[in-house]
Amino acid sequence: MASLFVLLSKCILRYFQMASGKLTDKILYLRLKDKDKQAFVKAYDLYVDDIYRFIFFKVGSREEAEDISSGVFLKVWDYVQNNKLGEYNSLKPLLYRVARNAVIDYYRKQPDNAPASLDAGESKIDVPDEKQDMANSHDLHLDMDLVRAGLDQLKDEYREVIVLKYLNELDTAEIAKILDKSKGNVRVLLYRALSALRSILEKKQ
Amino acid sequence: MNELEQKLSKFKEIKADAAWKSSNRSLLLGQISMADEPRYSWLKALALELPFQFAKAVPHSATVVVAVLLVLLGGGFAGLQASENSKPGDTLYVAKIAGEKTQLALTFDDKKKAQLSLEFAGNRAKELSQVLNEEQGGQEERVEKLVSKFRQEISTLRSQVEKISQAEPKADPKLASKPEEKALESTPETALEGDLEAETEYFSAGSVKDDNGISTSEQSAETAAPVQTEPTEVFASGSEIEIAASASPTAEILVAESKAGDSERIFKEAEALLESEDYSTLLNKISEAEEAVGRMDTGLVKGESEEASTTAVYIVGTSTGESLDPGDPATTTSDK
Repeated sequence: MASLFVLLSKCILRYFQMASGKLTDKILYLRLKDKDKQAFVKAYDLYVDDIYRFIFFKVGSREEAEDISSGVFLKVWDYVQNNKLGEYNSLKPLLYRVARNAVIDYYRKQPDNAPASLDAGESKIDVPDEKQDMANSHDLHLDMDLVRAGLDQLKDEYREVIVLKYLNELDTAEIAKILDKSKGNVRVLLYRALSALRSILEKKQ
Repeated sequence: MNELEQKLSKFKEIKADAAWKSSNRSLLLGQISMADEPRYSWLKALALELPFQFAKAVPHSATVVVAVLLVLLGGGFAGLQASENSKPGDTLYVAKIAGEKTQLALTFDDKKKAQLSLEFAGNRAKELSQVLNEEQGGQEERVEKLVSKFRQEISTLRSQVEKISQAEPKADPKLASKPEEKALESTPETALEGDLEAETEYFSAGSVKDDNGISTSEQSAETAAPVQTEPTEVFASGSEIEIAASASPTAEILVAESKAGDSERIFKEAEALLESEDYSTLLNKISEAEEAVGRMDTGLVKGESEEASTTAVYIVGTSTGESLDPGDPATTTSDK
């Protein structure tokens, strides 16, 4: 009985968090429409890490990711003022959509940059696991590097859904909106992406 | 799959470089400032800001509200116990009020609704005394709000009681006997106390009637000094007549210096009256309660917070063994 309550409360809590997140989003969007700079700063602080992470896993370089992220926020500001992409009436999906487009543009301009390769220097992931002893954290780093390399080898479409779901923590509905697909499509895509990643990783071992 | 998913989740800890983040922020802000000046109005900005703050706060109070709601759903009111002692300004207070409203909405029996309203009115009074007892300032606003909420509850209660009493016309024998009791008790006291307001008659009459055994009048039969029936009263007019209860044989009765103690008692009496369906007396009791709480408030307004705001000992030693102020050591009179 107790576990049922816990489950129920978790569900309700998540619902509330989602709802409040969506409310925040809508309000920010409206304020941006009013050229409210405070809102811009808030939106930036709220989403810059997510957008950066999303872009980083597509382009592989810190500097590029930073530049492109910058451009994304500016563009979103502009889009909101001029009512472009009006069907996105809240902030998060709009940000991701613009980010996605920005990366596509980036590759179009530089056809020689193979999208899948990550810089060697970027392969170290700073996993904040201070509690683990050195041996463990070394293993963990190795693991993460492996997964990272595996991700690189995935087809773009697959990598994208995995990043959106696990790294950006978006739910199926949100991903569907950003990718302009149906929820069912997204679910299937996710399943296939994970299977593909898994078999890549197994092959390596 | 799970292990893989976990590893993938670790990646979400990757963040942008902090230095870049802040320099970029200023850069972007500069660039968008090239645009026109904002055309928002202060009012609109405020209207949008408040829900934003609320939306940010929701995750926190949602946890609380969810916990409360779940317990209610489960049929238990245990969750409300946690919020029971909260007052305006506490985080749990939101949950407490939400719980009250839910309770009221879920009650369909008129009498039970009245009992709830009475309880809530009592809660407002309790909260009022708690707020008055706070040492830091800035209370006036909360006090005002509490008093108005209290009046709301009282008027709701009143109309509910009237509704019930009209629906259940019953001969009320107690009404007849009550004035006699009042007359009996009040005479010796009036002689002794001098500056008594009408309420004190009610108090003493009530205390005789009250099953909770608060007054000593029943217990100190041998001395029969009327002065012992009087708990300490503090009058809004500013003159303080303290009647220290002389040693009662049971030594259970203690001196109360707080008006809150009185209003607590009145509420208990009112509860008993509602239980016994003595509606006419109850309506009188409700007025008493209003006045008692009103005096608490006036006390603050007149700057008599010294006398008004004390959590000195409440009257304890009720027959149920219930202390009105659970936290206090109940055997000495202390001044705060």
